[in-house]
Amino acid sequence: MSTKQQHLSLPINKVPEGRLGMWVLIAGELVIFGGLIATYLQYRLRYPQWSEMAAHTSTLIGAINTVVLLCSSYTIVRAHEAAQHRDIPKVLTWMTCTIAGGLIFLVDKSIEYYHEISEGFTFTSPHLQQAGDHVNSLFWSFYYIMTGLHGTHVLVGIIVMFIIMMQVRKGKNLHRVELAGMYWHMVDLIWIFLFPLLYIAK
Amino acid sequence: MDATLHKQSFWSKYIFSTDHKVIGMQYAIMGIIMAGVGGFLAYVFRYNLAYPNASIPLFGHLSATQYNAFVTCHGMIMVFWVGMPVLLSALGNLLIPLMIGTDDMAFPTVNMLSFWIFFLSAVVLLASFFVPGGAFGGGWTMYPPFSAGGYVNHNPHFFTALFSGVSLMILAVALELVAMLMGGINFVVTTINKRTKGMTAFRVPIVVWFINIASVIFMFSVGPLVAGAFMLLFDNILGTGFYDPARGGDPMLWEHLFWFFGHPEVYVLLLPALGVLAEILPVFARKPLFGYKPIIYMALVSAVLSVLVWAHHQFVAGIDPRMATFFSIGTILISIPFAGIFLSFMATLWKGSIKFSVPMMWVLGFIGLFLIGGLTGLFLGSNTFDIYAHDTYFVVAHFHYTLFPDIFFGFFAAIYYWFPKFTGKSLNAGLGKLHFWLTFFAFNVTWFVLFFNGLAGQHRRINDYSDFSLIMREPYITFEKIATISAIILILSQFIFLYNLFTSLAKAKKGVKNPWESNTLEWVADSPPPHGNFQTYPVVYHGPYEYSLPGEGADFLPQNVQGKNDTNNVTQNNYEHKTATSFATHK
Amino acid sequence: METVTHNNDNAIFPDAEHDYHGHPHYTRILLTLLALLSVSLLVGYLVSPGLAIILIFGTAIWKTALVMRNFMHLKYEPLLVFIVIASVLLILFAFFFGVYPDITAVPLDVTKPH
Repeated sequence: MSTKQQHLSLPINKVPEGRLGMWVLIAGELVIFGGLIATYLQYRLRYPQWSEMAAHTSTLIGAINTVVLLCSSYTIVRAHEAAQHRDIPKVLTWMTCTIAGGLIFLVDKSIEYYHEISEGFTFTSPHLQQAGDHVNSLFWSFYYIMTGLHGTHVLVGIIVMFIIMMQVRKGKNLHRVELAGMYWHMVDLIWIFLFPLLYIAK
Repeated sequence: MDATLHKQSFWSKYIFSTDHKVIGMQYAIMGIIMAGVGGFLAYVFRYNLAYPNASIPLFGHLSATQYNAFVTCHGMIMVFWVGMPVLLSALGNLLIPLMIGTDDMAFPTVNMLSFWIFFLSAVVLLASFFVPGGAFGGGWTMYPPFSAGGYVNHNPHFFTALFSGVSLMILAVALELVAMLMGGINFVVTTINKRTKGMTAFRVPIVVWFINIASVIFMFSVGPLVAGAFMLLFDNILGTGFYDPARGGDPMLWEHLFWFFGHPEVYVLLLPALGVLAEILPVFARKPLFGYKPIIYMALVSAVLSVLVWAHHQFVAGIDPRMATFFSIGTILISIPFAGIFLSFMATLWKGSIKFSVPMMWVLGFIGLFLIGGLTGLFLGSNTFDIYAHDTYFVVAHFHYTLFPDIFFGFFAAIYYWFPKFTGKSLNAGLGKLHFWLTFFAFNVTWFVLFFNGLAGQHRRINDYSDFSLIMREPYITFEKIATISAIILILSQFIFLYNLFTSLAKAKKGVKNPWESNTLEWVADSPPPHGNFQTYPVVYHGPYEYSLPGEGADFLPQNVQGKNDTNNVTQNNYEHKTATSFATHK
Repeated sequence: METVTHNNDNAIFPDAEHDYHGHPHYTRILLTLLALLSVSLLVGYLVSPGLAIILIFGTAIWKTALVMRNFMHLKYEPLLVFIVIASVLLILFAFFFGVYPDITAVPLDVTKPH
């Protein structure tokens, strides 16, 4: 029993189960989105003409959504802070703010989708394909798969957050606020990268 | 602590159970059932290969389309629905909590959910046989264009496309991956956080280490494939062109995404089975495992290398030749850590007092067969030879020589070894030996002759060789028949195992706690372990492989028994943290 | 032998003394994040495209680091968690550079649409 062994087992054990599980889940999610982003980047570098298509995405709505997500990340971390002080009304207030942020994000996203679809940019963009512009139609396939998968995560986050809010209201499972928060921050992080990739970089 | 007194209905005890042992059994049973399906498919298409156009007993005539679907699904099922659940999930669930001395997994509900998602995935896969057009037949690697309907139909009907063989297969694989991800999170968190007092990182049995390393490799390499599977699904059901070169996509991308996961997957399957070997060898050689820490380090090295060598599956697909050299070298390098692990196993046997019990026979058979599989892998890792041998039966024989011992020998070794623990009964040793020898010989005869067919140029995806004069001649026709007959013997001999299993289960419970005189913690618990596993949590004083120590009374020293050289102060770990702050105790 | 206290389903939240990690100044972090966002929005109009790309992704990485370290409390975690996240990123880089020669750097006339 050397001191070296002690050293190796100690630092790991400090992390509570829920947090550790969440970190592993986040790592797994990051590879999924990372794989998608890496794939997109491969094509983005292969087809410089995609910058014209990226010009069709609304930087304004994207920027608003970034602000909304960053703020909702802030509110959930404040909810977590309140949870550590067992201040349940405050937790509920901050969590409601976060859910509202998520909903605003989804509404923004829907408005954006509406504009793009009405311009004919859909998952397969038939008008581009009929014009023989297959490469640019692929951009929109990527756009929808990336934002769609991210939007699904936002939706799941909202539902999870709502369930946890119901538990917190009864004074139970306050530690789960932090876990939901970690998930929410991950969703935020992915958006931080999707935003420049799909909206700003032209 | 009165967990055993809980009233549990049949449903909550055996079906929707959160107990890690029940979930492990469910995975194992599901794996055996799927192995039956996979074995039947193998029987049908092997029969067709030896006797083309003949009517196959128990099946009838096999069309070319069906042949393709059967070969594809055989591969899929054996890797994802037999290898994964049996080696990773069943062994992980059954062994990890017992071996690290805790009551259950860190997240029992997630664990239950993991099994039921896995069950759903199996149902979806089997359902794909019954949709119009039948199951997918484009090879288990699902390469586009075979798997991407968007090539021919840019505007598919959503539901027709969804309920087609290929979409269902993609969905089934995606569900299966989700189930394994959930299991993996559980394994890692349980092992890190729930070890009992004194169970430091380097006192954890090798099999627990290896299942964890395998889970981590799995979780970190599967992401791109999940993303890629979505894209493939949308190519099919929405008509996008992610993999269609005519529309800006690239089929090479799928190959990279698939093999970036598919190659580490080989080690995901291999490592738990090697862990089983490491558990069984010292017990029946009555010697400490040779090089406990080096084995772990070598496994970690192989884990790192495993994510860097994937493109050796694509040497003929037109990848950049400079990269091909890189991947060739990486592939050959990865044999070094595995050679190290196997040499450590051999050194464990060296001068041991070896008992040829049934589990030990499977283990030794594994080592022998894997040697052939591993060495042929070295040839194939080299770019130049692989271009010649690619997609021939040489490759097929190679990966059957690695995966068959890995999945089945590893699983049978584990079953014969841990059966007394989890049922309190014992399997018949005579039948076990018969089962081993028949499987061993039949397997060797089946696959050894096919190496020669492969070198003669027999291609793996052709159902009828009548038009191929190079293969339709002696001795290759005879080899083909020998392989088929012996494959049938191989499948039939598994019924000995099933018979043995059922008759042994019908016997009365003996409840011998430690029949093999083994050291690890699972043998401290009752046989079978009750809900909650241990009456009192064992305290660990030393590593798991302390056999035949000089100066001790018996030739084994269980981990919870203090030996003469063990000091009193047990290393602190999370145990104190948990009880002191109660932070980690709630779920 | 000792017994272990079993899980209390009613979560007991640790007191301030047993707090797992500290709390940085969250409002200040948020303001930094928003400032970085406006930088990444503005550089597109102010500097040359090449430099803008570097700045845009530089700020994205900076934002990520801020969120992970402070909001997700990564800076209070043991080294192991950091290694897990870092190894994920390394694996992704390995994937990207392994695929790069076959997808991005492939001569385009091979894949030109007909």
